[in-house]
Amino acid sequence: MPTLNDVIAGSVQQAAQVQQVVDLLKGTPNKGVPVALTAVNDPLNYALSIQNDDPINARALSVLKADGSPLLTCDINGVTFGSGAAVNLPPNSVSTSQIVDGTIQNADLAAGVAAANVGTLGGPLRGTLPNPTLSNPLTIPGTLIMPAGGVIGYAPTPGARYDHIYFGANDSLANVQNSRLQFVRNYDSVPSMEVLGSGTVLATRFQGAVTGAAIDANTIDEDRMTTNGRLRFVSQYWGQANWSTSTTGSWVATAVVTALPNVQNNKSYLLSWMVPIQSTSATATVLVGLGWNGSPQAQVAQWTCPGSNYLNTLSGSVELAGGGVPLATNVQLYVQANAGTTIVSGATYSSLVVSEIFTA
Amino acid sequence: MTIIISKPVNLSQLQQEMVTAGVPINQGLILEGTTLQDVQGGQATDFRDEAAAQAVVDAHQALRDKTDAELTTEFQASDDPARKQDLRDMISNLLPREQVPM
Repeated sequence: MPTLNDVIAGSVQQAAQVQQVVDLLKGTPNKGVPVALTAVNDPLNYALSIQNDDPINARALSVLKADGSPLLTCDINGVTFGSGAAVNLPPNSVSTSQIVDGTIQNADLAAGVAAANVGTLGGPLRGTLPNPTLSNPLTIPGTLIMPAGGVIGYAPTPGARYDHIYFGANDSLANVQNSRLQFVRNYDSVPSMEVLGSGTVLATRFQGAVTGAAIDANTIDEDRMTTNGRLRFVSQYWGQANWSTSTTGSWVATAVVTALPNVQNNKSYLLSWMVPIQSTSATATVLVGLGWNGSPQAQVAQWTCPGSNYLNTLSGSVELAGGGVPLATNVQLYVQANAGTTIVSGATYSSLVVSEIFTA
Repeated sequence: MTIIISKPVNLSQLQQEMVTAGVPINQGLILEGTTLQDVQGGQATDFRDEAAAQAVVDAHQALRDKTDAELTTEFQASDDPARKQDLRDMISNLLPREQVPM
């Protein structure tokens, strides 16, 4: 390996010695020698300063490998290490100040490094990633959103569900402020349904029928009915009977009859009746009775005819306690006269209306 | 079996005619619309001898009581004091009214 030749003090410089420096600086093939600026001792100046005044590229330094490919390039773009080859940096020499914010990618990290760096989970989560658990009891601050819907519950075995959701505490039936499950429409923020700790369910409306099984026994009273609500209609006879009988001295069933369902013992019925009675006898006394299942049960009116063929419309209402008409299938008007032919006139209407009025 | 009536009937009169003719009936007669039936236990029932009952119905000429208007007209036209008294009693239901065919 050639080296730069020293120039002896007092000796005449030879051209070969000067040419050696020129070849070194030009890079003349096979004329290079090592240069070592290792003996500089200057507190103010750099041992080596290189500058290219070209403002476009400012190519100041190019360090090459034996094959001519770059090891280090300093130009207008900064300092470039190699050209795709690995760069060997001293251990622990790169810290956050050398890294541009927001540039570290997931692919830059080794598998599991990020999860391990999270440490012990908090809030409603427990354990560590990637297999955390939920806190028990589950405490979720803010709003729990389940955009795809879902089920909160516990299914210990397939087909046997024991689902429970608990809200609030320290509530009595009269103290409801601590327990409240509320469904709020996102559309207009209206609470369409609330379930209170008292057991009260507030809903904008119930769709479909609320059947008897959903209503507590003995809880519905008339104040729950609308102002114009009517008693439950059961059945009615409404017609022009054109009916007569010559029977005297015993009850006879008229054509005024209507159905009565099998009566439950805790129901009562209101029977409203109207019948135009006529007798061919000038002095007949006509009795009107109500009966069911083919037998007169109660006399409800009496009329003495003031003259032959007088017509009188008799009417009235009777309440029947359910227990008094067990297993009745119909109610019917009966008449009994002591003389003449008794007529239910077809000239005007007869009626017999059955309404269920209340439970006993 | 029932009998269908197609002419005016006086039911009490018809019952008496059946009794007189020996037609077996129970408590009386019921006429519902145009259907004539016997009465038993307070309910309409079939005639035990429908043919006999039908014969009486066929021969039946229904009578009705004279009305107040008819009696009053006759009262005003009569010069017989005894007749006028009878008519007055019939109007007042003190005497059975005379009858005329329906």
